[in-house]
Amino acid sequence: MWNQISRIKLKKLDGWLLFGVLALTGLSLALLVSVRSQGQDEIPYLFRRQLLYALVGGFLMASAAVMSPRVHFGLAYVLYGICVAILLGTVAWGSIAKGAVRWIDVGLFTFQPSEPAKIGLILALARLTTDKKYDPDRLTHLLRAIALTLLPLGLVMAQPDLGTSIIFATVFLFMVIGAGTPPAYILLLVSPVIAAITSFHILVFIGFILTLIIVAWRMKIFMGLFVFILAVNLAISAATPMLWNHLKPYQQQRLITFINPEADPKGSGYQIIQSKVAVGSGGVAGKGLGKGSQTQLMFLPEQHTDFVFSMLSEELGFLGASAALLLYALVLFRGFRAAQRCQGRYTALVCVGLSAMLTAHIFINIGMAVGLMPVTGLPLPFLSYGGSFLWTAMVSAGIILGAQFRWGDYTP
Amino acid sequence: MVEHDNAIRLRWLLTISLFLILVLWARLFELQVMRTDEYRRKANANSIRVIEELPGRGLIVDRYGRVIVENKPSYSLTVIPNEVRKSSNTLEELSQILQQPEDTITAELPRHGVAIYQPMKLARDISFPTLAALKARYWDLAGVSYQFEPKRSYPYGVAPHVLGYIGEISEAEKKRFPNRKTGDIVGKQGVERKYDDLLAGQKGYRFLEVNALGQIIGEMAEEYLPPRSSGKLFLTLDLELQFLAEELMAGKIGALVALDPNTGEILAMVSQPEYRLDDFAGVLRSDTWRQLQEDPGVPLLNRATQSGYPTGSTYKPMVLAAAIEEGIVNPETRIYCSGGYNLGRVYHCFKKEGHGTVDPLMSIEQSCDVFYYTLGHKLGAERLGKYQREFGFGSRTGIDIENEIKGNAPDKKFFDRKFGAGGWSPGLTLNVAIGQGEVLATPLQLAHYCGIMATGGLDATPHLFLKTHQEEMGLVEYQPQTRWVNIKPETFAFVREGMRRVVEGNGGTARRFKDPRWQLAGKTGTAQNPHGDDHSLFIGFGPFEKPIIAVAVVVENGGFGSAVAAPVAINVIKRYLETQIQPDSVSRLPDSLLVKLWQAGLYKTELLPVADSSAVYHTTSPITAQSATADVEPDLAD
Repeated sequence: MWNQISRIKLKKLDGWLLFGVLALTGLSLALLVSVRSQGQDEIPYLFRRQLLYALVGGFLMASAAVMSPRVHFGLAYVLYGICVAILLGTVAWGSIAKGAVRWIDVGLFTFQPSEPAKIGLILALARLTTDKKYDPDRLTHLLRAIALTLLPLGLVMAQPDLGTSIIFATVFLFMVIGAGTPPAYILLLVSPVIAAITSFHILVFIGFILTLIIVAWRMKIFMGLFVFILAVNLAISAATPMLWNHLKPYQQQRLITFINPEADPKGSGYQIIQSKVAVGSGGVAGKGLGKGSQTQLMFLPEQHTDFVFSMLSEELGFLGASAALLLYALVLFRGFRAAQRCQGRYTALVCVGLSAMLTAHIFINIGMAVGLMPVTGLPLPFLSYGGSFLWTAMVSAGIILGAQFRWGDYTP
Repeated sequence: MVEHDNAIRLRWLLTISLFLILVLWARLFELQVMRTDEYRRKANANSIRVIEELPGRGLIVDRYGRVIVENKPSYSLTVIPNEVRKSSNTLEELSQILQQPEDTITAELPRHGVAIYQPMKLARDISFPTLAALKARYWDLAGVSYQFEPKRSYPYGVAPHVLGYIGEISEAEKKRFPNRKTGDIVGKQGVERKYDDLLAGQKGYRFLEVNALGQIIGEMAEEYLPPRSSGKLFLTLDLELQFLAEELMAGKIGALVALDPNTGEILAMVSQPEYRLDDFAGVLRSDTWRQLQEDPGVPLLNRATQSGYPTGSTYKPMVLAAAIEEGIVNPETRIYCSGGYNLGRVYHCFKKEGHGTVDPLMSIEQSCDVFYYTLGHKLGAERLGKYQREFGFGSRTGIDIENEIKGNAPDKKFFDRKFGAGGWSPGLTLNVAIGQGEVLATPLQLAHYCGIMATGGLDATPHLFLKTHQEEMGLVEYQPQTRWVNIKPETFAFVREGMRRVVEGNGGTARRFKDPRWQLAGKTGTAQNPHGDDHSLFIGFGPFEKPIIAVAVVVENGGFGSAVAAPVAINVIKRYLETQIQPDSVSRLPDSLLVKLWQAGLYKTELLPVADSSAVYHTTSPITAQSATADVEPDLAD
């Protein structure tokens, strides 16, 4: 242990990243002080809980930072395996309990197994794609990475947790790009998704196919792959409407509401509308801490968890919200910059994956609060109330910090 | 090469991340900076629930302050649909309290939107036992409450057509009352409608803070606006006279209008048959409404302002005035009545054997038709039209209740339009001259016309509003609108003398109503009615020297004017004079002397009530330019 700590160069501590993380966590505590409690508490209950979570999280972050990357390098597949096993267990338990199970009660607190699975996947993917035997130019090797991702992704999708599966997909995409996968393969991965969406409108679809051909031409993809990509896209786009018609009306309705929540102002659209009202009514200067009428009066459900950013925007206004965004930009910038500075390809790719995960969370959550993204129930790093994801985010920050400490030391 | 490629890739990924943050920032700018006003409005609407408190409508009193319309308390049962729906227990209890099946109740509750969080009136004017039952179980019933709501009360039930009923605003009425919303009570007719603004008062508002569940979490007490009731509305009506008039008209079909000719103040207005205002005070039962709608007597119609009748002989003083003004008739004029007038065909006098030689005063006194056929023929449609308009026929009097009709004062233009230019017989004008044929006038127009005769030419717009005292405006009084008609005083003196003889003369058609205390004047009328028995009409005023009341009475299918309408009108006039004037204060001049004086050219100053104008006429304002001729086109749509 001492051996590890002694190798730390404190000068190499990424102060900006640490500052960003601590400032955001402090902001979350400040917001929770203002959450109107039931009246009897001196210190609001939620604030006390979150303070506890933050202290535990701080300890986890420090531990992750101090730990040598060689530790998680070595344990990457093991951690991945444990996470997948737990996910499998919850899904199995869920099918017995006949309901959606995302949380496991471990006595002191409840715990969401999909949280550590995010880190487990990132570590395993980094380990796989930086292996000396891994050749990014070979499609079969890419398929291994895909398989590695699809396993936990399928399990969270089965919970069903669409939000987390989007996170897994985003992380995968960022990491394979970072791992040097040729652009043509990326195109092959991304274009079918767009093809499925655009297939609902013939003109948009034709536009997409033309764009695809031009992009593929510019990339100078060889003919066989080019034809394959085109064929896959056409097949997907032809299959989508057929699949759509096979869905029951309520399923179609659910998908429509997912993409356009405001079509259903009573269901998930209600939250989006109320969230926009909260954000918009905050104005430039905000209504002041604890004075957000929309969030404090429960017009907006999940105000301190999934919609914490709405509360922040309402109470602290455009200035406060911009400050929070600036802090996030700082964290992401330092995260990707860490990837560039890392000696080892493994640690660099881990930094990419963790930053990608944070990016996805930030964009999807805040996008939801401002009415750009559907309601998915993904928490906002460092700001949302709750332990599970705060720890994931803090451990992520710790790993990124730790990856930069050991300048000159051997890192995988 | 590989390392370099990696750096580019990482920079790309970073750029994508930061670009996404930028997208969020731009959206925040849009919502919080560009569109913040819009969302502020929405936010306020979200969290503040406004509870209305209703004011009592202003009292309506007669000219002496006697209450005609007042308020009494009633209660409405209100529910918050969202909360009632949640609990089957509440629904069950509600159905017991209201004695309605649950399905009926749930059918009325909205299912969507903000409305499900807002209290709505489920039942108006609930009975006392219902209220007691509600109060007893009040605390067990979430979302159920009651609201105080004053309702109208009519202690005497008089003058329904003048006062008008009230009711919930209809969609169509929202244009007329732009500040009102669904569920508000507005005047539907009469004074209640015309002066709704003065009567409605101002609603009070409580501002309650609610959360998303509709639970009240506080009140913004400093914002509370208590309701403000309106002040009293004084009408020109004389309650006692109104009583008498309704009593006299009871059982008849027709209308009565009594007014002060010096000011245009309506003293009594009756339209029979009547309806019961009390039926409209609480919740109007649909069968009552249907009954009123289907009643062949059309009780909802205000015959005083909305029914046009042929005027019959009551037109004759006007025609005589026209003939004098046009130089066709002078005191020496004599016309022989043989019982008929030949113009293409024979137009009969009502007295078949004829009146013999008739002078102008006698023509009024005995109502000789041939005399007026002659005048009508000589005047022609054009000039007849001009004088009809001068006396207010064919246009609205401008009374302050809505939906008054114009009636019809036929002139050349009218006949040309109806029959084509030159396509009509001059015989039509003969009919106009005796108030038959195409002539249509409302009882109000007749009273107004009678008032012009009474005052010797003062045209005062009839009105019901006297004054009101409002908190924010102070005292508001009626601003009199008067003008002098364009007819010489001598003419009036002569015609008035004729009208006096109708009552006072030995051959007068209303001579049996002579009263030793006052000289009265008037004119009987019997209008032929193609659909049934003749209508009975009478216009009259008194006292002759200084009139303070003019009355018009129309009784449908009543027969001779002297038999049915005249006693009603004379009784109203006498009662009013009894209450207003000491009998011996009125001096009398012998009839013969009056005529001699007039013939000598000395009479007019003595006779004309105008001589004592400052005492009699409340207004000294100059003749207003407001012209009766501006509105001459007879509106056939009426």
